[in-house]
Parts: sequence; structure tokens; C-alpha cells
Amino acid sequence: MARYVIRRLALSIVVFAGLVVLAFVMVQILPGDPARAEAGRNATAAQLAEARARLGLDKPVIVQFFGFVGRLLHGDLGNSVVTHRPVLADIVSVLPSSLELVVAAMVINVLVGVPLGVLAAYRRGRAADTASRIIVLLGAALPVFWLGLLLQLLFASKLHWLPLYGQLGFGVSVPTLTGVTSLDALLTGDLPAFGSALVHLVLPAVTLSAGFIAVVARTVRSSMITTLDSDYVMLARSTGAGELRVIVRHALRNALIPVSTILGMQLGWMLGSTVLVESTFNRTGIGAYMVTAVLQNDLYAVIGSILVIGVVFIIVNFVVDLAQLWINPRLRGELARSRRRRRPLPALQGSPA
Amino acid sequence: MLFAPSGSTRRSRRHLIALTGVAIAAATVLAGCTSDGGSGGSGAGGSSSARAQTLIIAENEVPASFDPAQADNSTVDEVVLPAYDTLVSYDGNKLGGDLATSWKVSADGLSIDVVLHDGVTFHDGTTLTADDVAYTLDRLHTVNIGAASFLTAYKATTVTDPTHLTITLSTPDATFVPALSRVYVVEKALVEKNLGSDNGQAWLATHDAGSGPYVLQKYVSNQSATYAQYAKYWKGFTGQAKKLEFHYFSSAAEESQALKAGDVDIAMDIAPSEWAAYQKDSGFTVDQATTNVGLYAFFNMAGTSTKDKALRQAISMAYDYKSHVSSILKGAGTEMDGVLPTGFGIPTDGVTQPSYDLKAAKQLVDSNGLSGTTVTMTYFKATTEMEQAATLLQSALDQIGLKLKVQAVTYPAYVTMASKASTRPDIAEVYAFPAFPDPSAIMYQNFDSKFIGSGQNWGAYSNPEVDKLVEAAQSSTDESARKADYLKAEQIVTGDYVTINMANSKYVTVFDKRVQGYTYQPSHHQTVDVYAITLSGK
Amino acid sequence: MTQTRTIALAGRVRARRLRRTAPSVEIIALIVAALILLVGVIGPWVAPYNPVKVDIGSSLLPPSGAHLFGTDATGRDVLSRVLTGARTTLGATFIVLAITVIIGVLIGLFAGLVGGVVDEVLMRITDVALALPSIALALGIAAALGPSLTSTVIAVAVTWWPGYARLIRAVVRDIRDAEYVVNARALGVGPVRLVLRHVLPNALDPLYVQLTLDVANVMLVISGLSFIGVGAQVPSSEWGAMVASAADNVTSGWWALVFPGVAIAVTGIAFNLVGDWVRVRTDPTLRGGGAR
Repeated sequence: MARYVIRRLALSIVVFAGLVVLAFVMVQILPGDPARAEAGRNATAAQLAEARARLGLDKPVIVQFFGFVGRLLHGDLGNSVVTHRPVLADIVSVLPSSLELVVAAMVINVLVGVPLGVLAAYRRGRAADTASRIIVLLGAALPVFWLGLLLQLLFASKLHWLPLYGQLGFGVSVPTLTGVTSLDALLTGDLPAFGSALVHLVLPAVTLSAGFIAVVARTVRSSMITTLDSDYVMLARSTGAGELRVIVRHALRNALIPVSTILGMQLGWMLGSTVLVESTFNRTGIGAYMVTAVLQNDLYAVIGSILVIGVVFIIVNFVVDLAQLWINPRLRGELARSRRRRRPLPALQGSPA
Repeated sequence: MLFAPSGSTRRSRRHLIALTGVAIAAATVLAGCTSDGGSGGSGAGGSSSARAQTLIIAENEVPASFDPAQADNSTVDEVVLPAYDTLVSYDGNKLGGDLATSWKVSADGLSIDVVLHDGVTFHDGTTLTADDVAYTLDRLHTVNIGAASFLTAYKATTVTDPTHLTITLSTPDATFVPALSRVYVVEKALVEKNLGSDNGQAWLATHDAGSGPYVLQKYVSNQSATYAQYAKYWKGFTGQAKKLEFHYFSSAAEESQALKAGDVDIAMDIAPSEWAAYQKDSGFTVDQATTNVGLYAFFNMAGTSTKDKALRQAISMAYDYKSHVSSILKGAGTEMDGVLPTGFGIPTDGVTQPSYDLKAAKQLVDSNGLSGTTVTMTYFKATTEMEQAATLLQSALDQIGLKLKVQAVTYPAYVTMASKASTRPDIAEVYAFPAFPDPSAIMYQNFDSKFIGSGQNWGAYSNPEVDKLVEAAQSSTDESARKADYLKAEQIVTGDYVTINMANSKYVTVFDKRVQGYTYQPSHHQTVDVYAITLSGK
Repeated sequence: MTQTRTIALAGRVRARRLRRTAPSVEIIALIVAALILLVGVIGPWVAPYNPVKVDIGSSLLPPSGAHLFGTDATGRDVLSRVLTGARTTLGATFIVLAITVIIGVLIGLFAGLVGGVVDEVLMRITDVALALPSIALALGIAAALGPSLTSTVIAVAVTWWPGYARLIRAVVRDIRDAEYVVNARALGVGPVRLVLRHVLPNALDPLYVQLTLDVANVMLVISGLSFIGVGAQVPSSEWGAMVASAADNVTSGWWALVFPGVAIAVTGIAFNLVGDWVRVRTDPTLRGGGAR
């Protein structure tokens, strides 16, 4: 166990190091002079030289690299060219809002994807299977950015069932404690504000989850089919256990183990996909932050966003792996084997962009 | 992966099921709350009286900063206007005092004596004095960004007493006092406390140090800016909104949906295709105001292809100016007759304004061997007029054998691109927003070679003769001599085909009927004069 | 799907009931996919109007006999733009997939055959690349290269190859340990011959499956980046860019927004169905089993 955790941790560190190298390479090759970014657009030649020296840009690349790593480890992601504020501070202030959206999307993902997969597996080849397959197909093929606009038009603009944009209704405000709007509302005991925050989450979360539901439903379906056909499920049936009990207690709980790995990875991808959702719904968050940074050529803000999204992804995957280990000790052997053979292939498990 | 049941794993699997159960239960509770909250939390919900007291303005581009130093840019001007005061201000095209009760320019034009209003306080209660004004001007001079470009003649300020000061200039500058209408006075003590290493730019980017009618309360990036009335505002209140909000939208359609739903009161970016529908709707007012704003396409005078005058002339002749006004602007605008909109009162004799003539343009292209040339052009993202103008020009150039590559950019991204010759686009669609109603705002800022790369000479136009004329007009105090100089400069600039003068648009704002007293201010284009607005009950 | 293949390779699949459904849906999907590819090739010639010709006088006309999909805010024919957009969007998608497969196959083969430290290093590199949501990384790279469709293609390719490298490497490792290959090697069969005779033929099936499914995935990323504004630029009729520019007028002209989105969705659905079908057809353990 400990050995596995250490190996897993080492892998995370290697991945993080790679991420840092990648970020450094991006700073090097991307257009835009970091010194000018630091000193400001209208800096004088002397100010520019000073900034260059301060950032160590006059030193050899390898020295610069260690300086870059050193600043990163101190949490210095540089300053935004546009706002002049430290990038990390900006990201920290918007990240909780994105996590809130991602968690909400994950809840929808699980609530829809798992039953859909179970139903499809159980009624394999019949109408219900076909229906769930259609839903899955739509989810996998509809462009997220387009879906968001259509949902907005239909449910907010035409039907007025849900709010069009934003994170809280008018006149509702909550103090910023965690940065997660709904959680802050709960913590201050403001139930109407909590309701408002949740209602504002619905459309963006549905939009964000659409592409991911397909992968979950597919995985649940295929692993459910395997478990439903297994000897022990037949055994359970033969003992006269109720059908629902057989499906949920015997089949589903085994089928959910591969699903949990995928859900963990999906958390990271969802965070990436916020770039297509947050701006549409005027939500604050790292996706909207990154899009704005991209459109304003804000070099450090773009790289900072990538680094933070990557780090969150690494942490989530590490935690999911550990949680699985804790939940099912039998996995240890499996994981050790799968590590030797081949780790799960995230891209092949269907990143729906 | 298969996991056959066996005694040893039973317990742990129960854990998983339990966890899943909890997750599902929690999720169900969440979902339940979601549908319960539906009635109370929708866009226009909340306390209805609070909404009635709040003015909400829809905007399509987020401000780069709340630092008044950058208020030369309308997205910043818009958000600092409610929170700050200026020494002088325009009502329409008429200049009057604001924080300054009076001012006097010396005979040599090198010094200005200013008398300040008494009893003005900043939002933290501190009294505004001549020291704060001096600090504001000195800070602007030091950081030398944004609005500083209006004040190049500034030398120093001498404070006589808390309400008297003298501004000295290095050269006489006819536009210095008008430009003060864009200089927002910041509180010296507060900014100095948060100075940082950049003269308080980082701090002012998200904080307010002003004395205006509204106090900045909260800015949520990409989402909204919230203000509340400053109870001790020196001019008092006569029914203005208690609160003020700016909401930021990613598309004009979304702004329109929010306006119809009552989520916002004023929308400035409604697509022209929707104006007619709003005009018919009794719940809304469509305001069309004559502006001093022209939409220009600046040629990069140093660009590899666009340095050729024949090419610039051909492109200018390929633009369908009439269609721009009738179809893109849906009639809300006029064709230009030169670089200067008619509001500046400069005659048009000898000014070249090409008219749409594809045949002649094609001939020009062919006889100069320019066929097949590719030129690049930028326009500002989410600006319908610009995008349509770009596509209109593109399909016209297609017909005369030229290829136009178009790219949507944001204003800050464009400023960075235009600052360097290597990244400057061949053509850039830019609105000239005269910060104050004086021809200098266009002729000097956009065509004097001293602003190449770090100001608003977007086309990097350099012509010593024009430099001489506009600089003479800049320092002269003789109004008729200035007008003559500007006319001469305009004749040369238009003859050189530096810009495609696309159209002089009207400013169209759609707002809810409950908004009273809305007035367009040419001196603060693309902003809302919030202090002039009162809200009526519906 | 990885799980499924792992199971198959491990030979742990249980017998399943045979499913007897005619693959009519798949045949339709195949036809639709073929038609879409055809449109990608001939689209510009069958488009009824010039897709970039602005006619401001007839802006935002609803769908009618003259304009089946209506016109957009600048009076361009939406049908013509959707038809020509197929080439732009699918063209970019296939270029990305081609680059991805070439890089992925080479690296996967190299890692799998050489093994040892080289394998470890290459696989850690893919770990890093896979440790990022591709859309975020591609957005950063595309923005850095300067907004254009070419930048987007490069950016997506850079983020997409590791999946293929993993896939090929896995096949190589499995084959390498197979008895007949061990025997072949003992008989002195060289690595080139090994790759050509044993590895590549075995790798083709999973590769086909992944490629067909990735048509939709890559297309969604490319059009998403164009929607944000770093991909195809005006007046390109790239589908994502069309959605972005129609967003402003959605309340007065839904058609300009809806049709390019439908084009993306239909293409995605068709290729997904074909991909599923290819998978079932090529994986003997799945044939007739109904497990996906």
C-alpha cells in the first residue's frame, strides 16, 4: 500500500515537473516580452532594463529556468499585463466559483449518467437501451458552446424558467468566505441566497455536463453488462434476491469501480471545459478568466491558468486513486499490475473536449 | 475489471455503496432545493423595491482597470465616471466648471489659475483639496499612460491654498482645459497608502479613491461592478438610483434578452437588427444621439502592402459608404465628408472623401499590378458595426482582386499589436472617440507622428507638414487660425488616404421606460451619465 | 472502452447471448458520414451562393425557398456557409488526426519496442501531456501562436498525440509478449519486419475505432476554439466561428445559430455511430455480444 502511494506520489511529482517545464517553454517561445509585461506597457528603457534584471532575463536560459521554478514554488505566477495584479491572486479569487460549477456538473453527470448506463445494460438491445444510446450520442456530439446558447434562449429567454446569466439573483448577495457562492450562502444561513445560487447553476452545469454524461453512461453500461453476466449475479438471483437488490447491490457496486476512475479524470476535464461555458453564462471563474486573458494577450495570466488547471487535475487524480485504494483494497494488486502494463488511457476514455 | 464477491472484500464494497448512497441522497436534496428556489432566485427576483432603486447597465466589454489614469478608454471611463469628479466637464458641447468653480488661462497660455469648490469630500470623508488635484496631475504625468496623452504640455502644479492652485504648462496648449474633463481627481492620502511599486496602479485597478456620486463596492471579474450612492456627495441627490450596477455580457443577444426580462435597464449594444422591434415596444425607449464619433479604418502607412498609396486609394473607393449607413447602421448615422465629423464645425473645401466606385477601384488595382495582394485587418470583437463593415469591405475587395484577412481582437490586445511595427495590422477598424469636442482630439491624436506606437496614431502616419499644422493649432489661442490649420491638415491627410472614413454613427441606446433623464454626452461616448438619470416607478 | 479491451485481451470475457439486430442505424450513419465527407469535398461547388458574399440588404432572412437555411446578419446564405464550412471544419479535423496518428504511432512504436528507460521517459511525457485538459492547453497554445485556424490545428495536434502513443505502445507491448512473436524473434526476425508483419496489423483495428470516434472529439475542440475566437477568423465559414458570429443576433435570427450547430452535431453523431460499429466489427470478443 505505502509503496503504491509513494509511486503514485512520485508520478504526480514527475507530471507536475513536466507541467512546469512546459510552462517555462511557453514563456520562452511565446511572443511578448516578460520584462515589458512586468514593467508595464509604457515603461521607459531604464525601467525595462531594471525589470529584465529583476526577472533575471539577462542570465543564461538554465539560470532563468531555476529562477522561474523558484518563483513558482513561492506561488509567484507573475503579474497580469492588463490588471497589474498578481496572476495567482486573481486566479485564487475566481477558482472556487469554477469548482462550484464543476461539482454541480458532476452531480448532474452522476445522477443522469449512472442510471442511464444501468438501464441500458439491463434492457440491453431493447427500446430503453436505444433511447439511452440516443441521449448518450447527443451528449457526445453536441457542441457545448452551442448547447449553452440554445438552453439560454429556450429556458431563460422564452420560458423564463431559469435565470439567463450570473450567479445570484438581483439584490441577493453573500459575503465572500470560500468564494463558492452556494456554500457561502449556506455558511451564512441565507437559504434564499442558497436557492438563488443553485438555480443560477442549473443551466451552466447542465451545459457543462452534457458531453461527460455520455462517457459515464457508456462505461457504466459496459461494466454493468459484464457484472450482470457474472456468476455471482446469477448466484444472487438464484438465491431469490429481489431484482432491484441484485442490480444495485451486486451488479452496480462492482460496476462503479471503473466508473469512479473516469469520474475523477472528468473533474479535471470539466475544469478545462469551463472556458466554453463560463463566459456564455457570465459566470466568474478560471475558464472566463483564461478566455479574457487569451483575448487580451495577457501572457502570464494564460500560463497561470494552464498551470493551475493542470495542478488541480493532478491533485484530483491523485486523490481519486487514493480514495479507490481505500474503498477497495483489492485494487492494490490490480493497480500495481495495470501500472506495469498500462495506466488507464484518459484520452481514449473519451475526453469530450 | 471484474471483482468477484468474496468475504474479504464485502466490507469495503459496502463502504463504496454507502458513499454512493450518500452522494445520491445529497444530490437529490440539492436537486430538490434547486426546484424550490426557482421562484425566488430568478434574474429579476429578490427584493422588488431594491430592484426599483437600482440602475443596471449592460455592457459588452469588461474594463481593463478601475484606475482613472486609463480613462481615455471608454470601458474604463464608464466605470470611473460614477465614482470620481473632474475639474471641468462638458454638458453637450459646452464646457463648464465642476470641481473648479472658475479657471483662468494666462495671456501667454502657460499657466492656468484654478479655484476649487469648497466642501467636497472623498468617499472616506476626507476633504478634497488642491493637494489632491496636484497629486492627480503629477501621478498621471509620472505613470504616463492613458489619459496622460491628453496632457503632454503639463509641467507642474503650484498649490496656493486648499482651494487655489496654478497649473503650469511647458508649451501653450489649447486643449489642456478641455482635456481636464477626462482627468478624474484621486485622493492623495489613500493612493499614497497603497502606492506599491507602480504609483498605485495595481491598487486602483480594483479600488476607488474618488469623490463622485457613487462608491464602488464590488467588482466580480467578467460579471458585474456594483456601486452605492455616496450619501455625502457634494452635489446632492434628486431621485437618482440608490444603487448602480454594470453587468457584463458576452453577446449583444444576451444583453437584449436581459433587457427584455427586466434584468437590466439600459443596454448600449443592442444589434441594429433589433432596433425596430424595440421602437414598436411601448416598454422601451430607443435613443439615437448625434455623436462626434467616426468609424475609421486606419491604414498602416508603414505596412508592406499598405504603404502603397494606390492600394489605399483603391480600397477606400471599394467601400460602400451608403450601404454602411442604410444597412449596417439601419439609418442611424451619416456618411462622412472627410476625417472630421460635421459636429466640429470645420468646412470641407478641398477635403477628399472617395465615393464607392468598384470599377474605378478595380482599374486602379489592375493598372498598378496590385491584383492578388493580401491585406490584414482587425476589428473589435463583439462590435456588430465593425464586424459587418469588415465583411462588407472584404466581399468588395474580393471583387477587385484583393484579399482581406480579418481578425477580431479586443481593445487591449489591439493596443499591444499596434504599438509595434512588426505586429501592426495593415488595416485596423477603430472608432475615434474624441474625448472632448475639439478637432484636436482627432487631428492631433491620430495623425501627429509623435503618437506613433504609443498613442492613437494607429496608422503610424508621419508627415512633417501635418505635424507642423496640428502642433500649431494645438498651441494657438486664436480659434479661427486653429480652424484654418485643421482644415489644411485634413486636406493633406485625406489626400494621402490614411483612413477609410466609414461613417459617423449615431449612438443608439435602448432603455426601459422607467429610466428618466437619459442624456448622451459626446464628451463621454459609450458611457452613461448616471448622475443625470432618475428612476420612475413602473 | 479501455476496460473492455483490457478484459478482451486478458481473455476474461464470458459468453454472451447473441444479439440479432440489423445494423440499420449503423448503415444510415455510415451513409450520413459518407455524405458529410462528400460535402467536405464538393461543398464549395454545390453551395447555391457565394459563402462570403455580403448582401446587407437581405440580412437575417428566415429560411425560405431561396435560402433554405436563411441568411445571417450580413445577408450571407447560411446553407452555402454550412456546406463550405464542412471542408474547413472537417479538413482541419482530419489534418489534426493525421498529424496525431503519425506522431503517436512513431512514439508509441519506439517506446514499445525499445522499452526500458526510453519507454519510461516517453510515457512520462505522455503523462504530462495527458495531465492537462486538452481544450485549455490548446487554447493557450493557439492564442500564443496568434489566432488562426493553422494555430488551432497545431495546438490541438500537440495536445492530442499522447493518446495514440499510449494506444500503439500498449499494442506493441501485448504483441511483444505473445508466444508467436517471441518465437519469431527467436528465429531472428528483425524489428522492422516485426513491426510491419505483427504490430501494425494488430494496431490497425483499435486505431480505426479511435480515429472514427475522435473525428467528433477533435471537431468539437476545433470549433470550440474558433467559437472563443482563437481559431478560424472572419469570414471563414468554420462551423464554430459561424456559431460565434450568429450569437449576437440569435433573438432575431435563430437559424444562423442553429444550423451550423446542427451540422457539428450531426457529423459528431454519425461518426460516433460508425466508430461504435467499427469497434463491434473489429473486436471479435464484442461481435454479437452487444457490449460496448
